[in-house]
Amino acid sequence: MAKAKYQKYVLKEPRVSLPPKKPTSVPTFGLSEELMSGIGKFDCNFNFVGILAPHVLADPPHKHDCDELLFFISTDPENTTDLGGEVEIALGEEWEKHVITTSAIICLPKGLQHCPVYVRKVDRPFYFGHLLLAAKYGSNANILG
Amino acid sequence: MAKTKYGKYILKGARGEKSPLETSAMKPVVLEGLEDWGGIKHRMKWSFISQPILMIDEPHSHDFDEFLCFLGCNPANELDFDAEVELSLGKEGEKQIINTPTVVCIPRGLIHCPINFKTISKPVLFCHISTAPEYVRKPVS
Repeated sequence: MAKAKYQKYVLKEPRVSLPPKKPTSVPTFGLSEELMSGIGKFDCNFNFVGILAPHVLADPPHKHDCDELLFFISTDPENTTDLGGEVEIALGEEWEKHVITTSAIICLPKGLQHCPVYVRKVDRPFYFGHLLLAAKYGSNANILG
Repeated sequence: MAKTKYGKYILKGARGEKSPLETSAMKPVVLEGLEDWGGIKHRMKWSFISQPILMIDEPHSHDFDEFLCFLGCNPANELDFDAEVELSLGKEGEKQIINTPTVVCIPRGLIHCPINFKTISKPVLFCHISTAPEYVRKPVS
């Protein structure tokens, strides 16, 4: 078959390669029911996540039927107050906006809706995490639709 | 600034304030805001250890569960940890050597300490979590 004149304009399977994406966060350490299985029952689970670049955390607005702490930790021993970044979090069903620029703990009594969490700026990586008074994250979480 | 409904639940880093426990070896982070943590029972605090220090000498226990977390200060590399800490557990004083990022789970009643940060080549983020609002030590009888 003769080569079509205009076939060159039809790109079949036009795959493009994306530049490698740098991770925006990395899970570091924490406690889970699985890790605790050999040593007994603790009604507590937590984790530390390294925040490396701006992004939106995956958690949709939700609440728990137990208390929770969210924490933000500057990792510069010479500057423990300034977080090294800026985070915006919505609290309550009104999505009341709060901006975090220092090391901080947010106390979430059971039933208080929270999220989304927007990491707006990261000048230096910091730790973010949760501490939930339940053996397993999710077991006491009511995710709102 | 208008008063917010939920701002009371946030403890923020206190600029320009030093902990009375601060030394050249240990820098506890000071937060300000809440008096009662919104009624939440568990507590969390952290310090940066930059020089060797015998932090607590006396063995003791608590009526609550406690977790001691030892992390490096490089969130991009969770294994970047260069220090050695010795922690005694149990009435026998069984020594544990901590030289990697570690979480130590201390159930209520388990005797622990001394805790000795023996070698610090890179600063350690030492985080203390407890499941009770009041930190009370029970000495070994």
